[in-house]
Amino acid sequence: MENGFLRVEDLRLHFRTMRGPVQAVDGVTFHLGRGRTLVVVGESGSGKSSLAKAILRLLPRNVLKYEGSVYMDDVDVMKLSDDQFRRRVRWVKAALVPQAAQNSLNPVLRVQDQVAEPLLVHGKAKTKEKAYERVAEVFGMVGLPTDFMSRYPFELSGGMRQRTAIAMALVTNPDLIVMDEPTSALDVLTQANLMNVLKRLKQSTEMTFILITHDIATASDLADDVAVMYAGQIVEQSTARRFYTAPLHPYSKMLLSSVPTLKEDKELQHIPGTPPSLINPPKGCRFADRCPARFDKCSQEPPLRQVNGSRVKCWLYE
Amino acid sequence: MAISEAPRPGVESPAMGRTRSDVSGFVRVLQYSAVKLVSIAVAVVIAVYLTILVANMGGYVDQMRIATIKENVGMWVYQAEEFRHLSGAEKRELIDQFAQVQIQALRLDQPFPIRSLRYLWNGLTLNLGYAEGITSDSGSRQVQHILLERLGPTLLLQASASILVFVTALFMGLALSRGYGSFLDRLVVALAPTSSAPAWFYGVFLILIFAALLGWLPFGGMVDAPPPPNKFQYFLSVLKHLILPVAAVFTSTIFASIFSQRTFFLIYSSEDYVEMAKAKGLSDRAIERRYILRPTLPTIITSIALSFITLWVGNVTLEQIFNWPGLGQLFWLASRAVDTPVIVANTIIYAYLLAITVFLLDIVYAIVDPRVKVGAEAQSN
Repeated sequence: MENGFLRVEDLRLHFRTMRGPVQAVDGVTFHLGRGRTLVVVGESGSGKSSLAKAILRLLPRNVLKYEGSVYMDDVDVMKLSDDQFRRRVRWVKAALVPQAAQNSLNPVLRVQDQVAEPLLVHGKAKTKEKAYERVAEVFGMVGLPTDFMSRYPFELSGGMRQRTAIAMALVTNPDLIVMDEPTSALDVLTQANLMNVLKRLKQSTEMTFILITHDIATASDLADDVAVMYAGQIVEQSTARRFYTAPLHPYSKMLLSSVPTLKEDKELQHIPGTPPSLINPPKGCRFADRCPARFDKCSQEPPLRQVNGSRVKCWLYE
Repeated sequence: MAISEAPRPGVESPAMGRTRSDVSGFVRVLQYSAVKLVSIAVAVVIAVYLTILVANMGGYVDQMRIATIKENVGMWVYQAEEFRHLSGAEKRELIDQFAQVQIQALRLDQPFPIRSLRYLWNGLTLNLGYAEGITSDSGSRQVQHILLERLGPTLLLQASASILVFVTALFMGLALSRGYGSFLDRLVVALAPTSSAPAWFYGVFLILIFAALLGWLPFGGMVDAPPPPNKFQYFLSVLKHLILPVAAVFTSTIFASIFSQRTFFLIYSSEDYVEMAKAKGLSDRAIERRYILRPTLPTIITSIALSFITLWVGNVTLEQIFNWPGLGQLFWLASRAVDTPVIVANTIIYAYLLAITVFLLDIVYAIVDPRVKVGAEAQSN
């Protein structure tokens, strides 16, 4: 994993709010190999979406702190100027599939123009016609009929808009696609369809994916690696096989035992308590207050340790 | 690419489908426009009729006119040489006869509901008739002439002020929404309440400073007296007279306008699709043009169109203060003299302008906003 395509080191993104600074992403470190799919799981408010925004430098107005390193192909893109970042990284190296495709498409532009836009902006297509050809191609890849190309977003259903968003991410053939809960706003059947589209894409392309989701069960179909986020930090990262069979962190264990499965008849568990506020999070281990295995040392911040090829942020594995 | 089993219908059939839906869409737009036109026309008729009722004080103004006719005829009969030999009763009879002729000529003998309908028809057909007392500068008593003469100055003043305010507010608003929270932004927010004072209020101070104290600019009027003979000097003179009233309008509206545009753009620049455009690597200018201005175009068009209609009324007090020979001043004069035809004509033309603008806006909306055009279509699908 060391020589991966993406290396994120000690990434921090804090927001300024009326009630104080929010540590949405606080010291996140992970590596991701080329062509692999990383699933980032966590509860609502654990900072998953903020992590995506931090990697893609999509910052709101109230940023307080934004630091750390993000290496893509050994280039620290955090050091690039905004203009350099726009030209060299945005949609060339990394694209985004947003959470709510309903609002992510400009209501007054035809979808073909919006999907073709990155090609023209980054000089990957000389003419509009050439760009439309590529748009037709990616529409095929996500299972959208090409006669939808000249429609407006409001003429598409929710599932089709989400497919359009995926097509848009694919159009420039970027190295990395970050998907921020791409299916969570859709009904279950559409979700299943879309997951199949994603599975086919994963098999047929060399792209690297980061899939952000709270749906641990469905994500298992796609995951090569899994990272668990809790209160703005990654508490465990390991391969999917190891994570789904033998999770290390107490939080991961409880998270997995709260997921219903069809195969076995098990008692579902819930995690008592609520995640800590990201304004003034507790010192030491942030999960300590809800942790059944808590002991004295948990009042100090645990380091991220290598355990059998996984990394875990817990004193139990010292 | 590897995945080719996805449905990809031929190119011809969707193209044909598109044309067909375009044609039926066009028919629907026509139907929609026709319905709109009828409803707007009804609204105009009602508005004009109400104006006629109010301006005639429900028919009372005609009673006043009959009384005036009788009085005038009476004066004439009592003073005229040829009627001196007649007795009092005969004179009164004669007065009644003469007055009746005039009243019938003006058709004031009809009951008011019928007369009001005649006024309505005349008004709607822009048969504006003659003013009661006001005359144009060229001496005409035709309402049309009076209004036309005043229209130019009002449009000159209001249009130059409005365009100036609108363009400044639009670009400043856009710039401030980008620099949210900057010093300039906070300054404008703090200054926005200055727009609660009307233009004439600032006008008084501007006159005091630039006309009375410094003597740089004229106190009022539209052109020097006597007017300069050649066209260029005339133009310069008008320009010089225009500065203070325009400055007054500008000062009284600019901060609130910038504030509202800025807030408007702030709301629209936090849409998800704007963030997507940024993620796609579009330049700031392209984002502003295609993702902020383009989707908000309908709203911007509405605000400028509506601000243009209000130009017609003129600014009554401002024109008084600057002695500007426009419609606002005329309206004030007409109201004081209870010159019903002038008041009614002014309102009718305003109603027509408003109706035309609203109708045009509907069409423009259908052009610039794809969601409006297919609104009816979407329901039938």
